[in-house]
Amino acid sequence: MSEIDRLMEKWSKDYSDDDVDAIIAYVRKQLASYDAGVKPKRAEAEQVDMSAIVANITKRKNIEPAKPQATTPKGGLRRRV
Amino acid sequence: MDAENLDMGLSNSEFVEKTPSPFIEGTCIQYAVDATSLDYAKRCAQLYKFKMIDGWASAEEDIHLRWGSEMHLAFHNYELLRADGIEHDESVFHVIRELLYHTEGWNPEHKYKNKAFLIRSVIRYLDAYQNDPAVTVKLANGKPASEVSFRYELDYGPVEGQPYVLCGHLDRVVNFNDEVFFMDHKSSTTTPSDWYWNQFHPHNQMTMYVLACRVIFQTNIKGGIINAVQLLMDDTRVTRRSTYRTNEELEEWLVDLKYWLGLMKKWADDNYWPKNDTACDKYGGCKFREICNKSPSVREKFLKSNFVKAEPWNPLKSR
Repeated sequence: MSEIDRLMEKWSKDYSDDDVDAIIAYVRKQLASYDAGVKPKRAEAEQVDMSAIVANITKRKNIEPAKPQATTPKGGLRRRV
Repeated sequence: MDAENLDMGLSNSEFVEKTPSPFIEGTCIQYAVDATSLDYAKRCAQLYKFKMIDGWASAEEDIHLRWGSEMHLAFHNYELLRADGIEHDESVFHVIRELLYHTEGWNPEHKYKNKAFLIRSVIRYLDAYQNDPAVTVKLANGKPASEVSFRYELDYGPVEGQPYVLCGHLDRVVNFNDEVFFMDHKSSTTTPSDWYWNQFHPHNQMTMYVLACRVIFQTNIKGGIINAVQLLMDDTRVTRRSTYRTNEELEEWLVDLKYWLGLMKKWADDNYWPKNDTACDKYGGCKFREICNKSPSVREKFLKSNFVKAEPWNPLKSR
C-alpha cells in the first residue's frame, strides 16, 4: 500500500481542509520531483512527507474534524468550512 | 454562439429521473445511438448484443468505466469552479476534496486504475493546464461548455415516425486560436506515440463529435483536441493533439452510418447477431472471447458465472 493510499484510508471517514491540503501537497511534491528528473527513493520520500503529515495531525488533534456538507451553492461542491 | 438548449437533458429533472430506452419499445431496434453503442456494433454484432441488449459486463470493465467517470467529473467540477471565478489552487482543493468523498469506499486494486493514481492524475492535469490556451466556450445560458450533452435527429429512422437520434457527451468545447474544437479526455498506459495518435483518424467517436458540434453550435468546426492522460507507475503525463475532418470525410461517414444503422436493424429484425471473429484479438482482446470460444450450448452458463448483468449502456442517460 502506497503512502497516498494510507493517507486516504486513514481519512476516509472525514476529510478536514488540512487533510485535503496535505494530500495535494504530497502529490505535487512527488510530481515536482519527477519533473526535476529526480527519482527519490520511495522510502525517503514517504519519510519526509510523513513527518509533515504527522505535524499536521498533531496540530489539530484536539480539533473537531470538519463534517462533510451535503451541497454548497457554487458548483454543487463542498466548501472549506 | 447560440447553444442554449444543449444541456436540456441535464436541466430537466423529470427527464433525468426516468431515462427513456434507446430501443423502440418491445424490440431490439436501437433508435438513439451514441459513439459507444456504434463502436460495439462496428466491432462485432455479438459484442453489441452482449453489451447493449443483454447488459453483460465484467468487473474489470466496471473499474475502467468508474475511473474514467470520476476523472471526467473532476475536470467538469474544475470548469464549474473556474467559471465561478474561483482561482486555480482553491478550485483544485475543492475538486480533490469532492473526489475523495465521491470515491469513498471505492478502492479498486488495479495496477493503474486505482484511487491514488486517479488523485495524482487529476492534480497533474489541472496544474498542467491551469493557464490553458484552449479556453472553454461559454454557453448561451452562461454555463461553461463542459460535459455538454447533445442529441439531434437524422432525417430517417428505423420505422416510420421514429427518426434515428445521434447523441453523446462532449467533454469540453473550447476556443483555441480563434477556432472552436471539442475536447476529449483519454487515459492510457501506453506512451502517446504517432501510433497512438493515428488511432483517432479515422475514428468513429471523433468524427461523430465533429458532426455534433457542427449541428449544435452551427459553426464550421474542423476537429477536436484529444487530451491524453498517460498513467505511469510513478508519474502521470499529459499531452494533447488535434484531429481534423474535411467536409468530404464527414459526408462519407454519414453515408457509412446509414449502412451501419441498417445492419443494426437487420440484426434485430432477424434476431441474429453474427460474430466478427477477426475482431476478437483487437483492442487488447475482446472480453467476451472466453465466451465465444465455448460451444454455443454452454455459453449462457459461462456468461452467468464469469460476467455480471448490469444495466445496459444507455446513450440517452445524462451524466
